[in-house]
Amino acid sequence: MPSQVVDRRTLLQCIAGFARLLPTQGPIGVFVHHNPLHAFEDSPFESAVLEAKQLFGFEPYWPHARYIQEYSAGRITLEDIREVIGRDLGSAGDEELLEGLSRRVLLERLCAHGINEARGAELKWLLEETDALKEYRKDILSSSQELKRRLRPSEREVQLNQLWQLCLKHAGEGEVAKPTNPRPERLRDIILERSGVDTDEWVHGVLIRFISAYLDQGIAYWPMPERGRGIWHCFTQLFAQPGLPGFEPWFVSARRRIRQFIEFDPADALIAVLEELGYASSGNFYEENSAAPRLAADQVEGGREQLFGADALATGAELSIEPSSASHSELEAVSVRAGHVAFLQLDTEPPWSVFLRSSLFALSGWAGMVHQVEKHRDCLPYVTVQAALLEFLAVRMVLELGALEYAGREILGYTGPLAGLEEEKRAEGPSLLAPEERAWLTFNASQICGLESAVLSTISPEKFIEFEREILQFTDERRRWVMHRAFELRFRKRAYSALLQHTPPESPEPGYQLLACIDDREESLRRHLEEVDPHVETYGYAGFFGVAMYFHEADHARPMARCPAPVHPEHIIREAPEHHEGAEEIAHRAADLVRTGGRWSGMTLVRGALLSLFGSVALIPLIFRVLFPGMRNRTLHRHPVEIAHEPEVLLEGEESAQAGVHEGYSLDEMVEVVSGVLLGAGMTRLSPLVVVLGHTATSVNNPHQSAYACGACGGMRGGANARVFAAMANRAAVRERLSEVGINIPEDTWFIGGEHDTTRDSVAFYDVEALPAARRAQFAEVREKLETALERNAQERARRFPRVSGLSPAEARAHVEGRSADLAQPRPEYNHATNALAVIGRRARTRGLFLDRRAFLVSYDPENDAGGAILAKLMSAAVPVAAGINLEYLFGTIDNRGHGSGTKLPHNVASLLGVMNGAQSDLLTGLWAQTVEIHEPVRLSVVVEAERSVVERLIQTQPGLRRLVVNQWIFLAVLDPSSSRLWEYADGGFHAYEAEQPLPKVGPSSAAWYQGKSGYLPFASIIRPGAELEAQA
Amino acid sequence: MSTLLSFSVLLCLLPPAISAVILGSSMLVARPPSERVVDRLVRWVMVASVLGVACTGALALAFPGGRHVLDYGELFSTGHGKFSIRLYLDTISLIFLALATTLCGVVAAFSSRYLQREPGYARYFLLFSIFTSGIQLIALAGSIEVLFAGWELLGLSSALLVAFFHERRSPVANGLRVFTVYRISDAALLMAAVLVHHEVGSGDLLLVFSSDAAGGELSQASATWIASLLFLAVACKSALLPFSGWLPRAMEGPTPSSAVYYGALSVHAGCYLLLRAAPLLEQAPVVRGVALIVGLSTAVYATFVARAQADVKSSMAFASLSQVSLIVSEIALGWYRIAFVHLIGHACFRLLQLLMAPNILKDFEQSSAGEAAPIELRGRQYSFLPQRLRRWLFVYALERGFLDGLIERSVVRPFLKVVGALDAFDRLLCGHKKPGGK
Repeated sequence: MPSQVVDRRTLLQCIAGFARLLPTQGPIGVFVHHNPLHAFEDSPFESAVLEAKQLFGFEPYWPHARYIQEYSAGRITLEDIREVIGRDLGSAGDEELLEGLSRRVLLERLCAHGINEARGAELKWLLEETDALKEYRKDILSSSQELKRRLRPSEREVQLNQLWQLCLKHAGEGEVAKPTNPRPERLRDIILERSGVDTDEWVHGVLIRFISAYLDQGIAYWPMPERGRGIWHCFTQLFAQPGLPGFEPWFVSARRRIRQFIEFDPADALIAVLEELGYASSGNFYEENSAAPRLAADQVEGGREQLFGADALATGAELSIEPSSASHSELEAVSVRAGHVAFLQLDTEPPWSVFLRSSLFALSGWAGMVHQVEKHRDCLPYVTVQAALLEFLAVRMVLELGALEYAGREILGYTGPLAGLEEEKRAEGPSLLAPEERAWLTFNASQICGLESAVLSTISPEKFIEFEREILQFTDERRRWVMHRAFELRFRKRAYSALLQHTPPESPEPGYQLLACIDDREESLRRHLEEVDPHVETYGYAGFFGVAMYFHEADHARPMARCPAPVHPEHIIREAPEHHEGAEEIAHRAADLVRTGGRWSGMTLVRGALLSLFGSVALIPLIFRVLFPGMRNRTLHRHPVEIAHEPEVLLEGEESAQAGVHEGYSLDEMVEVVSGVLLGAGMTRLSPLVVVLGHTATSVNNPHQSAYACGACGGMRGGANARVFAAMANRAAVRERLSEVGINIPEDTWFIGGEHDTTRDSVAFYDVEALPAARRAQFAEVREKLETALERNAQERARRFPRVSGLSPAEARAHVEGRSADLAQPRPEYNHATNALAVIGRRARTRGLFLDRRAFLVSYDPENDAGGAILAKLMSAAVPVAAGINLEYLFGTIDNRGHGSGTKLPHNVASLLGVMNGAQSDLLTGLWAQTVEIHEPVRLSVVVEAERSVVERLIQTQPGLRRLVVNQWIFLAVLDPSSSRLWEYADGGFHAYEAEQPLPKVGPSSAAWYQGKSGYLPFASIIRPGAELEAQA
Repeated sequence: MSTLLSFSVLLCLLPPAISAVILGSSMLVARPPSERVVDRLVRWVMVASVLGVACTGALALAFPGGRHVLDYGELFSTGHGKFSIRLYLDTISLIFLALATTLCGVVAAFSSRYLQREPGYARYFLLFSIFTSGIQLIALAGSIEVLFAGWELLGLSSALLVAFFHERRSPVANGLRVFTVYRISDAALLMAAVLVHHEVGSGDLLLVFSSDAAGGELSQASATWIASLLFLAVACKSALLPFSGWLPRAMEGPTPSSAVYYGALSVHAGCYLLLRAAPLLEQAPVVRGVALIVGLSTAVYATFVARAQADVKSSMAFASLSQVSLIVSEIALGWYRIAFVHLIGHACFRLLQLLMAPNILKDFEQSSAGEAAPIELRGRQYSFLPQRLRRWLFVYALERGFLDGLIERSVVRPFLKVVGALDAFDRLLCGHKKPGGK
């Protein structure tokens, strides 16, 4: 081995650090909503998004034009912008820049109107080919607009030209660097820029085909050979073998390298690659460049914390490297040395590390999947393979080495170490804004602020330069940040104001209770049910209902975790497998064979030919499923769905020998689960009938189906949890023990579990036959009411869909059922697209309030929780889940290319693990365009009904909550339990909010408010006619 | 009766053409119609066209006479050569027309929901209308001019739909690649057209493609030339070896367009043309032999490649290709009926399969019940192969037979070298400098 300048340990540490930044979406069959910038949660929101931009080029906010659109639509008001800027500037805002123009007014105008920061050719085109110098901007002040209109066109042109010349005259002085693309330059980028040849296209072609076949869970008909011994071994064995014809020219160069490194272990191969490229061959180069200032470093203001802190390496230690590649002792040494990677701060990260990182992140989706498989090998659904990020990176870099060498030598004609290209690039220095480009900004700003050339020409050059500097400093990013906060502020004001003013109706003594998931999609169902039947009392609790378990469905291959993602269940519940006998057994097996056989036959030659000869039959399902999607539905399912002969759930189990996971629950554990939920939700007085509703979603042709199911159940169906919970609560032994601890479940109370399908708006119930005779009549009645509520819920949802309007409740339900079975439907439902708010408190505070499906509703009774222990538990479970969903939607909306997976239409399922775009691409993680299209990216506002002191203490004592709140990933407000007062947490303290405009009151039902409207609606109080009469009396 | 038939054929041909003109011209004046308008237009167009096919079918049944030649005038004529707009209706063309129109109708209905709120909604349906017109013209072509027009419309819309998501780089690059291969196909067909005119004096396919007439008109040599050019055109369009490399790359557009082009209609257009040209093929045994060899080897190649692809669309593209090339082999063997049944069955079944491709995760979830996951049931013969062969075969299949590399080396580079040399020579003569050089 040659002398190594990059030492092995440092290399492994670096890779451990990279791993932490990768997307954490595992196989797509289990879609877990989470914050895409999870690795940055230790920094404040603002610096985190800017840091992410610098590292990966992710957009921090919407484009300015998009906010202006919301501004013109009234979703942002001038007062909001004013308030945000006022807070930012403080007293500096009143400083007068020019006569009659304070700094605050300038910034306000810049935010509200925006400047298209045209540069180079675009600016030239604007100046020469458009009316930019002939006509005033359309959005100047209306008062001066009148003035301008009185001028003749030629006069306007003269005026504007004077203004332009004036701006241009002053623009020459002072140098300002052009904002550059902040992502690190890769060698590939430099070669691409110089020659137009994209080496990534070469490398990715081979690499994606390889890694997708390696991780494949069953799409390919042949299993990949050699994949038992890791990525590196498999790759080198397959691609170094002799006798493969006609490789593309670059690959011949890469193959030589593969053969050269075939005996190396992956880490050594990586080091060798770095040396070959010249990153590590000379100490000088390394030294010089590690100290070189990075061009874009000054873009991040403050909060440039150490990126890879000590706990990054704690994660990094999980990066278990296969025995074939690194000894375990070596890895232990790495984790012991955790914390000594200070050089991985952004400014001082050495060039070789930047190079490795940026190369790895060119295929971040696949790299992330490899890392997920490495961390949780059991996350693979059908075939277990081993994978290691280090090996994936080694494969990538060997290919990249070959490609870069070939391109550098053959196409660029560049001799010498390729790393030198980067140095050359850096030596070019930053490019500066041209005078025209600067003048364009002041020119626009002057128009927006109504400054005439006559006024401007009288001021001193110093004043003008100050004016210009002010504009230049208020960059596009800062303007967007102001607009973003103004947008959020508007929403919060509306929400707080509604909560402050809403007076819930007097509700009668409840006849039954409904316990649903906290999901924002259940908000409307609960509201509709309460409207249909005032005798119901509804509660919200995280949809796994305290039952954190593995659940083994009878017809599934393996048990799946049904609990929030970070929790590792300790219990396993199985559905008793159905027993088929005799003819039934044979029929069952035959059906299975047809299903599996039929699909594969289509893919092979001879069987495929035989099948094709009778293929015309496919015309029938083709026509019916495409033209009449609802029909199949109506014939196959009729609601309410009855699961009459569900196999029995095996509840009580013995202690299992298996470490960590036990069969079933013991009595003590069941008591704990039931009491936890009842106390947590504040269900202290139980009605004779308690309906427990989990939720799921049904759709076809939808690789992302799991994202629509219950997040609190790990992206799985939530029905089983409701069913198990109800079964626990119905046990006499459990009730007996509960009464000992002071929780009384009346003898005649019965819990019944069910599952709400949020796409189809149907509810199925479990174990109906076990219902006591005394409850049956009531249950039938409740069911009827629930059906009405579901139809209305479908109607409220349907108003948001494109090209759907004016449906009656029954029609709406037929419509949503059709969507769930429609092969051609990319939006079976809108999922969490409307989430923005979370209310933790009594339903009595929000009952009758139209929250537009925007709120997670967590039931909590502050009166039973003096110490705040219950609240602490609720918040630690619900807030991270809700925040994860909210932030995934937020970033997926702001930058759908960076954080999302783009439009669904060309998606191509790869390896059964994820989707690619079209023929071949990186694995796409995150949300798709069709589900975020109506989302408003605002950070979650959590409103807690509790004493301020209690919440204050929670922020102090709970690090998870603290991190989210203090770093402003969410907003936290406190609603006083006994009065109409509300405080929001900001800058270490609570600030009171006052209600704004009065809350609209409508009646008799929600339909009166949403009917005929398709967009977001203001919150409103829904007044029942009966309640109104009572009030009048 | 003939007038009635001509009219009903027009009823099925005109709607897609009109829709293409309306959508195209409105976009040309930068006024793309709204989604609702496009949706309604396409719906009526498809209904009208399917009705037209039904009428035509009924009339053809009511007036049995085997074949109908429908003349719609001449484009122009010079001396003894003329370019006529002539359609040709017999059982085969009627069935293919019905199939094409029905499948287009189904896919249009699918797309109208699938593409909702997509920025290129109107553009998609413009291209889709062009495609429908193209495939209908190919189905009914009675003269080589009409055939060529249909062939071009098909190719153009295909390449543009591959590049539908033109904000990303790879769809555009792959669209260009498809377009390039299609140009070879078009050039071959054009040369065939010239030859036909030269030999027969008109572009009448009836004279070329019918067994009774052709014998006297065409010499063995010219029949071989024309047949081999036609086969070249077909080989490109149906992605036979060595042109197969573009097929998986064409899976860039929205799923329904990929399905109808590369699962159902566009890949089979070549087979259909061969089927129509069967009498000509029978006179050119050499070409038949070549077609058989190319067909069979593509079939083996494609089925192997399909077995190693780990993404749904690539594996379906190659599975589809294996059947298409089998159909070509059947035609070469003279099994016309089987080939036609195979073609129609495969088009329907593959279309359904491709439209449901995104459902594969759910299929797996539902079928993986019980003991055996499907992957262990498959590829048993493969596991008996010696390890070295297995490794070789897998990489060969995974890399799709290294076709792209082979073509890059043997065609693209030499071609670029020649062009580069000519360019240099040209500049030497004219004294121009290379543009863009710094």
